This record gives sequence, structure tokens and C-alpha cells, in this order.
Amino acid sequence: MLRMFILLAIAAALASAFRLYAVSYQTQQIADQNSRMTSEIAKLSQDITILRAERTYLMRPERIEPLAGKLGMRPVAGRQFMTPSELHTDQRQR
Amino acid sequence: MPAADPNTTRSRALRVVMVYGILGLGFSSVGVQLVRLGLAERAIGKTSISRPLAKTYARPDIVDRNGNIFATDVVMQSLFADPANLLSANETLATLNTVLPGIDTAHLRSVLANRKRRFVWLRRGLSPAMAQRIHDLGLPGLDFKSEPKRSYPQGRIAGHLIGHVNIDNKGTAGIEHYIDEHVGIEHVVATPQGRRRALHLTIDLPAQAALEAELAGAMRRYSSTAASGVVLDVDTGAVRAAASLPTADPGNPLEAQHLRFLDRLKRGTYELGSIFKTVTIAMALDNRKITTRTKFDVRQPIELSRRFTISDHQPADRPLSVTEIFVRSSNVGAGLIALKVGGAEQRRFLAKLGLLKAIKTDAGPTAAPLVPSSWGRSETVTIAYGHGLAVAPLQFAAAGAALVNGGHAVAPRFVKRSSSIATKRAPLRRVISARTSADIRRLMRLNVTSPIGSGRRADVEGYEVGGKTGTADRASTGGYDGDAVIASFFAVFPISKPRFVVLVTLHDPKPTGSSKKRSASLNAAPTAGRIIKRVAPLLGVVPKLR
Repeated sequence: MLRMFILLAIAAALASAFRLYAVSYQTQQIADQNSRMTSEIAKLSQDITILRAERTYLMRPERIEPLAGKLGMRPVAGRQFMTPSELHTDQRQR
Repeated sequence: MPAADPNTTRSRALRVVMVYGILGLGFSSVGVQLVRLGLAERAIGKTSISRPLAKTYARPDIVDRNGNIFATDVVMQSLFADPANLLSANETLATLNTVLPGIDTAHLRSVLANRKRRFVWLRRGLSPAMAQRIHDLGLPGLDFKSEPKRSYPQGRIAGHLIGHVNIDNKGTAGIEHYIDEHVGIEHVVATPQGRRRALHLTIDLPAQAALEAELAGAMRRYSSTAASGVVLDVDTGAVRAAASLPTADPGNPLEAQHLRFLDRLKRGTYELGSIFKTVTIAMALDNRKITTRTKFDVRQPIELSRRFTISDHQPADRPLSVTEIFVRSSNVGAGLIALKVGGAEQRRFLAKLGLLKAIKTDAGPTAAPLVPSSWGRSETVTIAYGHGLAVAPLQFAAAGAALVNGGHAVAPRFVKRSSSIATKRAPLRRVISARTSADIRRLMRLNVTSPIGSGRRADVEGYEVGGKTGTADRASTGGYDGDAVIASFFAVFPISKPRFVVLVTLHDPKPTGSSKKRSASLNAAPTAGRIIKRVAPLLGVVPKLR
């Protein structure tokens, strides 16, 4: 009886030890993945910052204005404003 | 074998129990340790190195009112050396010099020779490509640290306003300094994590670019040495565009120290000439000393001393009304009006308008006005037409806004209220009556619509511009520079419901064409007109075309 109990206890101890290590390794893997992703997010957000800065640099008025000029565009002028009633009469004429 | 002595048997059993106990304790401690190691966070591999020298700061972005970036932190590589691990300081520097020219070899050689030091910056803020080339040299004892560096993708646009940061990314001037003082920067040792809320300015990037382009055009057209301009919301004091040319590069703090790149809007004070007559007349109207119809005999010059008399360029042959004095810009008239009010009252009024003390702005204080030490009859007369009191143009624009917005004081602001520390709107402080303000608006509009008005070249179809010219002799050490003038135009639009004031100042403009004149009506006024024509639609002011 006692021998049976001891054998069972040993088996249970072994099983829980294996289980513990399996869970522990899983946790470590998830932690690794987490830190990999965190550093990837950090890297990507740095890339985004750089790309935003580059886009702003390419969009700066100093550069866009001559380019828009080549496409025949002009600065906004006061005459381009219309009131809703003017729009209405324009449509009726058409 | 002798029969077991009961005593011996008992002591043997005790020994067995003791051995079991010790073994059990040992195994269970091993087991507990295993469980602890299995469960504990793996903090074992982490090391923390504190480098007191290698600190830097992460800063929030600076963006315009619509989110266009003016300044942002970009992660860059910074190269440092650990002298203890260098093979040879001389050789390392020689090799490094092949890809990184311009390092201070002589200085670094002595620093790197000291092997007790463990950390020496070689170059901060390297591009990734350059960092790779240095890495490829395979020099031992060199390493990189990534750290945030300020970058200004708009280049020189609004450079004076943005200010500068130092090598550690701390703000030293302009809005960058404001961030350190009021918004907060974050001390970082390694790469910064997470994004900070951007600081929104009141500036409108397209309007700012248009203002700078028009000022640059005016400088070319009139061969002017410098120029400044500001577009300011008359009610809130929010500055939509502010420029001083030549512009400053936020990325180059050294260059900005040269006098040539002085911020002529905030940090320079000038006698602004006849635009001050607006203030003089507002003062007298508000004190009920005159109405716009009161007549003054301006035919005789005002004699201030035996050597110094005030006269007009084209003396009138009859007494002029206040309206005529304003439109014809009579110095004698302005002087007589100021004398009627009196010097003490004039001083009090200018103080109330905030023209006698430096004002604080989000981008630092303005240069302190040059106020005469004694305020006698001569000062009263000369200040009446804008000489003898030098103020920063931004300060005048803010005071001028109060004259046309119905009469309440405004403080120029560069940071949008939602991101500013002062979220509460300050109670309005009245400086002149609404009636006086309406009179001033009418006079300013008349100066643009009248065929003899000095501001007629500033008119823009649909935008009801009102304004006043000022042509002042430029002060230089110990008197006036006989030849050079500062031409300015102070404008407000649309006059029926003022939204913005514009103040343009051209330094030392030259006559154009056959004309020999450099008066503001020929240069500053048309420049202000061009600025309003471009900026008003961008700021959403709907013109009255019919």
C-alpha cells in the first residue's frame, strides 16, 4: 500500500516537473517574441518618423511651388471664392 | 554479532532520520530553486550601464496649426570611442579620417591617449549610411549609440521663430526653448520609445511661405538689405505668419548669431515713422481732445529748438482737419495733436498700449523699446510721428491690433491655445473705446481709397484694406544715417470686420525706375498689398467682390 502510494507520488512529481518546464519554456518563447516585436515596433516607428520627415522635406513649399507652377497652377486668389447662391445660378445656366 | 543494545538501536534510527532529513532538505531546496528559476523573469542577461556623459533629450514635434511638421526628432547614430579598447589612437584617427573628414584630430589624439577614460564622443548625429561606412572599417574600441537628433524638414521657413537646440537636443532659443520651459522634454539614455504629443503653433505654413516669398521679392525689387513681416489675428493675437529676412536656419545656431540674421521682427527695435501717427490720433480721439473734423493750422513748422524744427515735405496752404493730417501724413499736424494732449498723457497712453516695455511671447521676449530718458516737448512731438521711440515691429503690430479690433489689448501668441499652457482665455483689457477704434478704421481705409492717400498701392480687390505708411530715417550710432530709411506699412483687413493686421518693414529700400523716392507708399505699401492678396485667401477670408 505504502509502496503504491510512493510510486504514484513519484510519477506525479515527474509529471508536474515536465509540465512546469514545458510552461516555463513556452513563457520564455512568448517573452522572446514579445521583446522582438517591441523592438520591431520601435524600429518601425523610428522609420515612420524618418519617412514623415522625408515626406515633409519633399513637400516643403520651396520645392512644391515651382513644381506646381510648371503644371500651370497658381496661388489661390480671392476671386476663386464663390457664395452658395452663385453656385446655384451657375448650375441653372448650364 | 553481539545482541543489539537498545541504546545503540535507537541512536542508529536517529542517525538514519537525520540523514533522510538532510537529504530531503537538500533536494527540496534544489527543487525550490528550479521552480524559482523557471518562474522568474529572465532578468539575468540584462546589464545596465550608466554613462553620465551620454545623455540626450527626446522632444515633441513642432507642427503648424494644421499639423505640417516644422521640427521632429530623427534617430541618428553617434560615434564614440572607448580609449581603453583602442589599438592605437593615432592609427584609429588616421583610418577614421579617410571616411569622416573634418574631425579634430589634434584634440582627439590627446583625449584618446588617456586610457583611463572610457567614453569619448567622436561625432554625433551621423546618417545611417555614414555609420555603416565607419562600422565597415572594423576599428576596435569604436561604437555607436543611437540618439534622437532634431531635424527641420522645412529648411529655413519660420527659422527665427522655431529657434535652436544644442548638441544634447536641449532648446536654446525660440519655440524650442519654450518647449523646454513649458512643455517638457524627456531625458533618454538610449533610443526614445513612444511618441509625444506634438506642439501646435498658430502659424499657417502656406501663409508663412507666402509671406517669406513676398518679402524676398520685395527685397529684390527695392534692393533692400532686410525685411520683416507679420500677419496677426486682430482679436486673439494668434500670429499666422511671422518672418524676418534674411531668414535663419534652425539647424545652424552659429550662423544665426551674426547680426545679418538678426530677428528684425522681435529682437530689433526701430523708429517706425509715420505709422505711429495712428497711435497719436487714436490717443487724442480717445481723450475727447479732438474729433476727426478738428482743424489744426499746420502751415507753420514747429520750432523745437534753435537748430531743430519740424516741417512737412509738402506744407499745406490752409489748416487741415485730423482726417487730412492722417491721409497727407503731416508731421506738423501729428506734433500739434500730441502737444494738445500733452507729454504726460502721451506717455501714459503708450504704456497702456504696451509700447514702452518689452513684451513676453511664446518665442521669447521682444527686445526692450528704446524709450527717451526725458520726455519733454521735443520728445512729445517727435514720438507723435514715430521718431524718438524705437520698438520691435511685432510689438507695434500687437498694439496696432488693439486700435482696430474695437479697442481691446492683444498679446501676440505663437502657440495654439489648445497646446499652450494658458488654456484659459484672459479677460479682455480695453485700451480705447469702440468708437475711437471705428474712427481709426475709417481713417485707415480712407488712406487707401483716397487718390492722395499714401496707402493706395496696398489695396486688394475685395479685401477692403486699410493702412498707414511710415518712412523713417534709419538711426545709426550718434544720429541718423542720412541716406537709409526704414519703410513700413501697417495694414488691417477687411475693414468692415477686421480679421488680421499686417505689418511690413523694409530696411533701406532703394528708389526704383525713374523715381528718386524711397517712401513707403512706393515700396512697403505695394508689398503689403501683395502679401494680403496671397495670404488672405489662404487664411479663409472671403472677399467682397460685388
